[in-house]
Amino acid sequence: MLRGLVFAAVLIALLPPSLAGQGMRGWASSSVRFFELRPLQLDTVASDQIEVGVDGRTRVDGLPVSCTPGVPCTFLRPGGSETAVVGSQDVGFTAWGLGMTGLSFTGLVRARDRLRGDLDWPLADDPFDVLVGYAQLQRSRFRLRLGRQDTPSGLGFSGFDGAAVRWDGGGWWAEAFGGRSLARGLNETRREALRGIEDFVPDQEAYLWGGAAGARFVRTAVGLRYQREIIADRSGLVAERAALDLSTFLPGALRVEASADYDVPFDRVGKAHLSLQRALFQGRVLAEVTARRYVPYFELSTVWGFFSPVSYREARLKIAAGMSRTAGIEVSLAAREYGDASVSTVFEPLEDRGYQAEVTGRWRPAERVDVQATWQLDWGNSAFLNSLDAAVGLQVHEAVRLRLTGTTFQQFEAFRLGDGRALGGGASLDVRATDRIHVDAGTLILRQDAGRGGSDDVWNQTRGWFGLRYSFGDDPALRRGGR
Amino acid sequence: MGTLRLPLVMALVGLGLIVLSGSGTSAPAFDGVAWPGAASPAAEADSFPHLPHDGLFPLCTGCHAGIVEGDVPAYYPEPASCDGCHDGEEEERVDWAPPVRAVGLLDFSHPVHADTVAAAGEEEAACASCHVAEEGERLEVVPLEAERCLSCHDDEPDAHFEGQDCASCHRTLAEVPGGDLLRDSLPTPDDHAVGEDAFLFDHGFTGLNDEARCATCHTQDRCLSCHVSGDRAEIQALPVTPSGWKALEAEARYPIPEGHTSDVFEVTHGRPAPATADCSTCHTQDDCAACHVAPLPASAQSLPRRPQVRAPGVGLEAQMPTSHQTPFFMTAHTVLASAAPDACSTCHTQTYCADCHDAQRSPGYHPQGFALRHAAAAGAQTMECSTCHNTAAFCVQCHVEVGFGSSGRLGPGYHDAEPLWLIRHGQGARQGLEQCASCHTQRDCLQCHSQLGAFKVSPHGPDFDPVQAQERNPWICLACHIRPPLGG
Repeated sequence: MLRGLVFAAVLIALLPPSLAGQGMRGWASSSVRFFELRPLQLDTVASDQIEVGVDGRTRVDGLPVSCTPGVPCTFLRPGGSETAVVGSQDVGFTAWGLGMTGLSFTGLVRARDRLRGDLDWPLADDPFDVLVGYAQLQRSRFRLRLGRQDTPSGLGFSGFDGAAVRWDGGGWWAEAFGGRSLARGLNETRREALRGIEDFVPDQEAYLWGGAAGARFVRTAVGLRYQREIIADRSGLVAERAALDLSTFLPGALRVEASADYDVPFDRVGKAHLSLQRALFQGRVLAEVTARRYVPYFELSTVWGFFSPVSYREARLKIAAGMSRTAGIEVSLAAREYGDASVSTVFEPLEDRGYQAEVTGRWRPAERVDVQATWQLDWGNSAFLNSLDAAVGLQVHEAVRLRLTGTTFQQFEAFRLGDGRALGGGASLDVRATDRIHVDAGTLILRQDAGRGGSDDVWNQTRGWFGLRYSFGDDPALRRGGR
Repeated sequence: MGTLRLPLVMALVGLGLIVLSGSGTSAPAFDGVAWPGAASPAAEADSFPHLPHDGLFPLCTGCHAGIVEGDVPAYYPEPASCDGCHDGEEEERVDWAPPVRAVGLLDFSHPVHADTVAAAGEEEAACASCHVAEEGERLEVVPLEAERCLSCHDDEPDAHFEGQDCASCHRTLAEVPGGDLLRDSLPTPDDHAVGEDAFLFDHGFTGLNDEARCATCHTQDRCLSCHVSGDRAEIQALPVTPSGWKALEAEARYPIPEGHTSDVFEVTHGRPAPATADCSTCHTQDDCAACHVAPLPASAQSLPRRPQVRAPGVGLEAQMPTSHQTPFFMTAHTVLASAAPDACSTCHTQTYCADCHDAQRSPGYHPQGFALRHAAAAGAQTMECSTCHNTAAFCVQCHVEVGFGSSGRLGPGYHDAEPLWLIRHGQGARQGLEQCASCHTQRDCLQCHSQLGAFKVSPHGPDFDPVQAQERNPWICLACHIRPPLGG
């Protein structure tokens, strides 16, 4: 299949020049990614081999051990090194001028294959996807799309096979859409995509329909969207949601962005945010204050939403400042607080606050050199990350860019003890061989410095990638990379 | 008498007609005078010494008899007539010849003027009023000055080149043989003020109101050296550039109109659909395509392509909208993309979004190495992972593969930072349910949270509305309940 797609991409690229009035723009992107890591494996240990530390925790070889009376003690240890080499081929295109004014076709298809290795990388075994594939007819104020669409909105990406009609007039717009629903993130119809993956998914398709309307004026854009997703036999809903998005400028050059979504079946506001942004000190400083509420969204075809997830509220301050013509800094500080989980607790309740801080500095000491460093602290209620990354970019040639990176971080995963500190570095190369051909390759090597008192290599990981992107067609936009 | 008539005729002609030109026979109504100062063969100084002959020729028409009647062959005396005096004995012989006549830019009719003069009864004075220096002697012939014409003509402009009625005196340059050579030597009218933006913006109104004025000096060739489209009526009204003319070497300049500099122009210029005739003054379709992704809007498609036109056009380069030019845009474009999706689709196709949000390359949407340390970001739900990733297919599959995922066993193990995790997990689960779902299957939880489970622990919070839940999706209730909890 992959070979077939590669062949098709090459064929399209080599098509003879189009007829007058016709046009095609597109790209083909091939990528190969390499992963090497050591998966965790559950193991058992005899109780007499367990050590009890000063903190009262039980360990074996420095790894925490869980013991339950009557059954062997268990622990997770690093397994052997496993690798995966995953290849993918994307082809995206838009063709127009096909005998009818305003008619065009847009498509994005993807083929994947696990080329080598014993590690099952997510979705690598899904050989072919049509991410987008629709015909569009633009006439006067109306636009009709037929086919597979993936619409970004305040409700996330909504994919469906169907039709969408849009009307534009004097800044106002309205849209109606409907069709067979696609599983989120899988680009396949729900019945096909979720079978065997989700526990309670019905063996039926779902249909999505809805409408959106909005206005876009000079300094203000507002949009409202409603969509409903229903099981084919109408026995139940998958989702029914609405979203409101607003972007505007208030007097004093104050930029305001706000959004909120509403989950109709659960009768609750989901995610919402309000951002105020303003330039200060003659534009040398940009400040943004954000208040945000977050509740995860789950489809009604799963039980998760019925487990009453609670929201968190977050306040965030972001500042970007130009220190000089060649240097700048960005700072982001955030604090969040979770809502009452309404559960009885044993011992002390878990931490229900979180903090984030991030500082990024950028410096361009020479025309062809740029340096960037980022420190990030994410102190969550369930996980923790403290990281420092630095990168040096060198424009070694007009068409060749080399980037060297170094990183160190310490993290605790979800309610799990820390895995020590990782040190790593990498290099990547971007080559713009021609206006149409772009090649990139790189590697990233991470080595564990120390972890849980065990051996130093339990978390070692290596990544590598190679990409080739070829643009074809006659859209002037090609000169500036894909759009 | 004969000797007197000849010099008189010669004097009359020489007074002003030294610059006369014209085919004569083909267009007898026009004298066709080339303009003084222009590179015309006839635009030279007086070739006949009129003043020394003063007294010999009492009447201008004595020599230039054909002037009044429009008899072109008789405009000038025969050169042989000079021999009457210049016989080599009394006076030395001379080698005089009448000026070579060529079609010039001046569209002047002596017969018409003669009629006017005759009606006024000032025949002789009329000749002098144009051809003799002011307050000069009768035969003090000087080159013709435009101001003399302007002193009588009705519109009476303040100065030559600023009048609105050029056609009163001039024919078009295109009608003049060798006009392309003449073109470069013509003086520039004051109001043209080449280099000033004001004239560039306003000259179209002149063309609209007085096409003849433009046509005096210009052919369509001049317009098309700057104007992308030649479809405008004002341009079409100008003479077609004669074949064989030397190509015009004019530098196109495209000053930015005031309206274009507004900070909202990038949003409003297409709404309503612009009058493409205005756009095509400076822009080709390629300029639109610099930002607009193909297929272009219909109004843009009506513009010519760059290879189809002679003018260079503005030649726009793609420009990032001001909304994109903040350090926070990459993380904050969601709202704008949702509120005004057409704003994005101006420059981007859906494949562009997917190419980043669903990239199969590194780095894509996430920074390099993000998968190695995404736990904190996923735990904080800084981004809603399920917007792009299917939790069950993507997160769970990977977590199981690397040993983090649930194998159905719910004993302590992975969450080893908290003692007695199993009986303490409720708070963490409600506050981070996405995280649970990224490793655990739904059946994992139902081992306890179900009527069929071991402990029959209700997962519903205090605000849970069972009626609404069952109404919206009754069959999911049966994942945990043996029968519909509210009946039915």
